[in-house]
Amino acid sequence: MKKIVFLIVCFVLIASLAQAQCDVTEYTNKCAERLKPQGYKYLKSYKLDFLNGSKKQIMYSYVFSNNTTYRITLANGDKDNKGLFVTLLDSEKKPVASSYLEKEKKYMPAIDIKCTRTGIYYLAYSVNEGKDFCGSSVIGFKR
Amino acid sequence: MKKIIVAFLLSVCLLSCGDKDNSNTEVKKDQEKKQEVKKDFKADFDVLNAMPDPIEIVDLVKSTGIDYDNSLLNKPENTEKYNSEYKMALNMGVYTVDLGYTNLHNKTQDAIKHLDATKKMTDGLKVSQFFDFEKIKSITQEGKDLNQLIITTGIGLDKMRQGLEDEKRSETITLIVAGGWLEAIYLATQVAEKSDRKELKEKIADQKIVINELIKMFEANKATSKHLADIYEDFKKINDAFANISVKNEEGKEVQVKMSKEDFDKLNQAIKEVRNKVIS
Repeated sequence: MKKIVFLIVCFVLIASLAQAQCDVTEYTNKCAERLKPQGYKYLKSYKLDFLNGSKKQIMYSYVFSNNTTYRITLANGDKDNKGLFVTLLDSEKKPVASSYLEKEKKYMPAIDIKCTRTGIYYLAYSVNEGKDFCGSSVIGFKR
Repeated sequence: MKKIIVAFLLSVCLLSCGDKDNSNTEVKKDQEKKQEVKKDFKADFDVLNAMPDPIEIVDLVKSTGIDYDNSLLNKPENTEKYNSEYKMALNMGVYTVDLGYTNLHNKTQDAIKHLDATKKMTDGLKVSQFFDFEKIKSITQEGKDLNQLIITTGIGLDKMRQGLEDEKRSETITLIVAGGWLEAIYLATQVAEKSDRKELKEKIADQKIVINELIKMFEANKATSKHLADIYEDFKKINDAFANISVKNEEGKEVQVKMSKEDFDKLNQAIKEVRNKVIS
């Protein structure tokens, strides 16, 4: 009887942990802070919930404007953003920039892009290592 | 003793799961009700989220150096006129852009008035919970940290968008976006009358992409209600005014904006008329 009750309690605890929500408040604030030093103004934020790894990529699109510099910042539970990166694609979905430096195996917390042509761009977020499947990204701009 | 502890833990877990189930069922029923009412309006959230944020336009307007002019803004007292969800949603968009304009110009008193107006609209639309109005008001009154003000307001707007999307309140979010865009382009065209900044004319011409998408959304939903049919016709006037306006932007070459004075005046007039109708 003791064993059965103990197993039930364990099951309930494990089930509740598995359903833990992706709360990005802290990450969004961290991203927003990264805009300040170089004078970028906040534009928008994206919640990145990869559903415990079942989602491989999250894609958003945004119309970037000519003559404007954008900063795309990222944050997850790891202090070095390990695993989380963004690839910026142009209107034809060709890669323009990435926050992952393949050679150095480094995950940058932000990338800056000077837009030279107004149009729709795609932000493709991915997690390629680790088990941190919850994050946030904030875009800022300056002229 | 062990039996008591385990039994206690078990009962706590089972009780909290039960409560969560009941509250989840109630929330689900509420959401289903809202979905039944609102699901007629079809919106493409990917397209809505891709639209440029009005703050980019307002920031450019500020950078022209043209003096601040609060007569351009929607009067905060006008909130008394907005009783329908449709009018509140449009004017919530309008007031948030006006709020951005006052903040960027460091006009604290006007900013507080427009913040109050925005809050009234959010209360009416039942989206106030997404904003930390106390914090926004406090930062505005201090007048020191514009960056933090934009961040706090922006985070609230994003949470609201996500919340409305989760609740499938497609019409409300579309009208907020449309109202905000309309006010931003209105401010841009009013200032462009006094400024010969090339970037401002280019930014105005670029809005052809946005109005195109808004028109598609309103056209797909114009049969839903009379006010949506009206707004479709109104935005169509603005879209028609963009007919001869274009931007040619080739890699490595200077941007060419095709917008004659007649085209600009026609566009300006159409925007003014529609905007004045929205805020009336």
